Amino acid sequence: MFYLRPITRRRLNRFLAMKRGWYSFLILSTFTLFSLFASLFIGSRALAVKTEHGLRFPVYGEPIPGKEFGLSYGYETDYKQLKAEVDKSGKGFVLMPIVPWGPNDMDYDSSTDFPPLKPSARHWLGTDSLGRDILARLVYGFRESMKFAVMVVIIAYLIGIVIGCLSGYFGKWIDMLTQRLQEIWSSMPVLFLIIIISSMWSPGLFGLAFINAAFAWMGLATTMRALTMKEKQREYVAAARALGAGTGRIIFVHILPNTLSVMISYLPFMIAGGISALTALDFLGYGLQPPTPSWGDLMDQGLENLESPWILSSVVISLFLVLTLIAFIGEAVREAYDPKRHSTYE
Amino acid sequence: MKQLLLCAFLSSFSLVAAEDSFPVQTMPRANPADYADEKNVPADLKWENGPDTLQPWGSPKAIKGGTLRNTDPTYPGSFRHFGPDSNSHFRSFLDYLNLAQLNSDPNNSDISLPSLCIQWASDKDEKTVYYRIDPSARWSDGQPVLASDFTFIMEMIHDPDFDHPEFAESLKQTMESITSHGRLSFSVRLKNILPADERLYYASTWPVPRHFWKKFQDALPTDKKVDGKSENGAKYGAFVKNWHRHFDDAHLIEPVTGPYVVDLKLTQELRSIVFSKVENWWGDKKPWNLGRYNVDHIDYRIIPDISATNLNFEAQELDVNFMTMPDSWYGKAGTEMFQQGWAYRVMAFNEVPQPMQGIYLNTKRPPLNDQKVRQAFAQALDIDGMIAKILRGEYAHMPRITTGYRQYDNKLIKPWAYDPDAAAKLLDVAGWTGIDNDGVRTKNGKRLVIEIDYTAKNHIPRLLWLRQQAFKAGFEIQPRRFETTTFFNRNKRREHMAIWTGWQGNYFPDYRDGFYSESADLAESNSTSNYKDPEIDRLIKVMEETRDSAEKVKAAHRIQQIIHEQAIYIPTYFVPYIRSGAWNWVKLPPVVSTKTNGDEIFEAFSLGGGLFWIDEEEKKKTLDARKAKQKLGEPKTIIDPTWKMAE
Repeated sequence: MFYLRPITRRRLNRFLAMKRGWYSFLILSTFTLFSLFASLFIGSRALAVKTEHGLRFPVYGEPIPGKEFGLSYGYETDYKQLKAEVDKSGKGFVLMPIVPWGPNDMDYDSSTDFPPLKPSARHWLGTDSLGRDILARLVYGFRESMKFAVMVVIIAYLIGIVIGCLSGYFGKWIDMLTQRLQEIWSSMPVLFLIIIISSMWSPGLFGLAFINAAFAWMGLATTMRALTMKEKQREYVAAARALGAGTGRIIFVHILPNTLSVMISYLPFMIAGGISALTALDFLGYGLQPPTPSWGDLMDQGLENLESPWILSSVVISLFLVLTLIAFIGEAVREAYDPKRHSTYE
Repeated sequence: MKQLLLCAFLSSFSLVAAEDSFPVQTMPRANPADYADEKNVPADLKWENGPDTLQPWGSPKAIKGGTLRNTDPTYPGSFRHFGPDSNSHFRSFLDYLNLAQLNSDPNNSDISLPSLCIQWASDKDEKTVYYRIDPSARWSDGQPVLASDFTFIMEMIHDPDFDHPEFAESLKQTMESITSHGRLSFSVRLKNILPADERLYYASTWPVPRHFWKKFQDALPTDKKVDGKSENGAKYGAFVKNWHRHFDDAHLIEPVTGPYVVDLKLTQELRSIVFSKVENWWGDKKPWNLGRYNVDHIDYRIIPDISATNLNFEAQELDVNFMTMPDSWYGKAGTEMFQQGWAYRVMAFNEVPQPMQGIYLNTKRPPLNDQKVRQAFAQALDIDGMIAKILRGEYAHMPRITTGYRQYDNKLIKPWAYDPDAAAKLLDVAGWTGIDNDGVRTKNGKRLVIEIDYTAKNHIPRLLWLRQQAFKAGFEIQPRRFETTTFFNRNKRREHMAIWTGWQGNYFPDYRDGFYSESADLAESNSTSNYKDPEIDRLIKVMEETRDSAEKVKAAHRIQQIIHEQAIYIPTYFVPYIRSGAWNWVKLPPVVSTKTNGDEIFEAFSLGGGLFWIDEEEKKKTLDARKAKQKLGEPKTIIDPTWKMAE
C-alpha cells in the first residue's frame, strides 16, 4: 500500500462514504473505460477470423485487404460479408463484435426502407437518417466528448492556475494587467465567438478544445488568484520564506498543494461543461466536422426527424444520464474537499 | 396610337379571364419617328423585330397584389451589382432584374424577343449589332432608358477604379465598344466575328443608369472627387478608389429596369430582403409579360438551412418551399399540410445547360498536383452508389463538365466509374504505397487526405457516403463545411483543396472563367481548379475566335476531354427537373413553368418567371381549414410533363 497523507486519506474516505458519488464515479469510469476499448464490442472489424488463410485478429492494427481472405478486392475486408460467406461454406469462423457496426457504417442494404431505420435486432437502438447505428454513434460519441472535455479541462486549468497564481502572488502590475485582461476576455460573447472562429477555420478536436478552453479559464484564474493571495499571507509561507525558500519553492511546494482542494472541486463541473459545450456546438453545426460521431449531431438529426423518436430519445437520455452522474461526482468531491471539515495547514 | 392598341389588349383581359391562357398577342412595333435623331447608322441595315405574334405564358386568371414569402440562404454582403463582395447569390436576382437589350423566348431559346430594345440589326461586318431602345423603357426611378446608359457600361469597366476585374475582364474579352447613335439608338461592336446566334448572345449587356452614377459622384466628398481624367485620358464618371464604401455607407440602391427593386424600407437587415414591384412598371403592358409579375412584394427570408426552411414552410411563415432535393420532396416536413390538402407539391421538367455541379480539385495543392492522384481520386468517388442510395436514384450521373449544351456535348466522354482497384494501382504508381490503420494510403508519413469544402447541409450524407466508399480506394475524404461567405473567400484565395459546388454556365459553353490560365490568378474568377494548361488556353482562344461552328464544337469537345483526363473537375449529378411545395393560395398557370426555368417553379424575376399569383380568398379558406384541422381535399401533386426531354 502506497503512503497517503492523513488529510488525503480522510478526504478519500469521505468521498467513498458518499455512496451516490462513489457509485456514479464507478459507473462513469466503467463507461469511459468501455468506450476506450469500444472496438472490441462495437465495430465493423472482426475480433478474430479463421479461414483457410489462417487465423487473424483484425480489430486492432492495419486493415487487412480483402485479397488476404481470398476475396476479389484489394481494399479493407467487409467482415459482415466475409462472415456470411464463411458461415455458408462452414470452413472456419468469423467472430464479430456484439454490435457489428462501426460508428460511420451506413446501412443502406437492410431492407426496402430508407433510413432512419427503427430499432430492431439488426440495430438495437435503430439508425440515424444516414443509416448509421445509433448505439455505435452514442458510444463513440461519448468517447469523443470525454476526450474533448478532458482536453478543455487540462488546458483551462493550466492557463487558469498559471495566470491566477502569478497575479495573486506577485500582485502589482502583473495583477493589474491580468485582471484587466480577464475582465475584457470574460465580457466577450463566448458561444458566438466560438461559432465565428470555428466557421472560419473548421478546427479539429484539439483546435476546438483549445478555443473552448481559451474562454473557460477566467473563473479558475479568479479563484486561484484569491486563494494564492490568502495563502501568501499565512504564517507558514512567512516561515518558509524566513527559512530561505525561494519563490518557486514557495509557490510549488507550499501554496499550490493548499489551493488544490478548492480547485479540484471545480473539475467535475468543468467536465460536464465541456461535454455540454461540444454537444451544443455540434448541434449547431459548428463543432467537429462530420462524420465524427457526436451527440450534438444525433440531437440535430433527432430534431430533423421528429417522427423517428428513437434518435432524439436515445441521445437525450444518454446526455441526461452522463450529466447526472457527473453532477453526483461533483457533489461528492466538493463534500470530500470541504475546507470546513479539514482546516489544517501544511 | 400604340397606347390605344394596348388599351384594347387590356380590355380584352376581362373577356377571356375565364380561359386558361391569353389569346395570341400581336407584338409591338417600333415607331420610326422615335429614332429620327439617328446618326452614323448604315442605311442598308435589315432591322429585326422578333416574331409577329406571341402566345403569352402567364395566366389571364392571375390576380395582382399580395406578397410572396420565399427564402434565400444568405444575406448579401452588399446590394451593389458591381464591385468587391458583389459576387453573391443575391447578385443573380440583380442579373435578372437588370434587363438586357433582348430576351430569348423561355420556351424556345432560338427565338429572340424584344426586351429593353424593340428593334435590332446586324451589320455586314458580322461584328456589330445595332439596337433601338423601346421608348417606353424606364428605370425604376422613372427616368427613361437611354443609349448613353448602354455606353456607360464600357466607360465603367475601363475605369481603373471600377474594382471588379472579373466582370470587366469578361466583358472586355467579348466587346470592343458600345457607340451611341442617338438618344435611343446604339450599337455594340464585338471583338470577334461570330455566328449570328452567338453574336446576339455576346452583344447582350445591361445598361447602367448614368443619371444615378452622376448623382452618386456629385455626392462624394469634395476631396474624393476625381479630376475627370484617368490614365488613358478619357473622361470618366463615378469611380474613385474604394467607391464601394461610399456606396454602401449611403445605403444606395441602383435603379433597375426589371419589374422589382430592392425595397430597403421593408428589408430587415440580416433577416430578409424584400423586393417591391416598380410602380407602374413600363413592361407590364408588353405581351410577353401578360399575367406575370403579379405580386407586389417578394419577401426573401434569410434562412440558412433546409430543415429550418421546411419548418418555416410548415409553420406558414413561407408561402412556398423549394423541394427539388429528394429529402425535402419525400421528407416528413409538412406531412400534415399536404395530407389535409392545405398545400400541394408541384414538379416541372426543364431543359437547360446544367450547372457545372461537381467536385473541383485545386491542382496547386499537393497531393492533387499529381494527375495520377487526381485520376485515382476520381475513381475513388462512388457517385453512382451515392445517387442510388442517398438520392434514391432520382438524380442522373453527370457525364462531363458541360452537359445540356446541345452539339457542344462531347458524348464520347463517360464519367469516371467507381473503381477502387484501379485507383489503388494509380496510387501505387504515384508513390502512395503505405497503408495506415484506417486503410488510408500514405507517402513519406503523410496521409492521403482530401478536404472537400462545402456549404450546403444536404451535402453531408452524400459526402459521408463518398467518404466511406473512398476508404476502399485508400483516400480519406475530410468534408469541411463553411458558411457561404467564408467558403467563397477561401475559394478566391485558392486556400481550398477541393470544393463541391456548381457554377452556373452560360448558354454557350465558356471555359475562360473556369479554366483559362490567367483566370487562375484572378481572385474574382471561378477558376476553382487553379489549373493552367497552354493547350486549354489555345483551345479557348480557338473557341472565341473561330467563325466555323464545327471547329468551335471540336475545340469544346477537346477541352472537355482534357478536363476529364486531367481529372481537375469530377462531375457529380444533374437534375432535369425542379420541384416545389406551396400553400394552396399560391396559384400557377396550367403550364407551371417554362422550358428553360432552371431555378425554381416560384422564381419571381427571371425572364420566364413570375408566373404565380396569390389568391387572398383561397388563403382565408385554407387558413380557416387549418385552424379547424379540417381536410380540404386529397393530397395533391402536380406533375407537369410539358417540357420533359424526349429520351
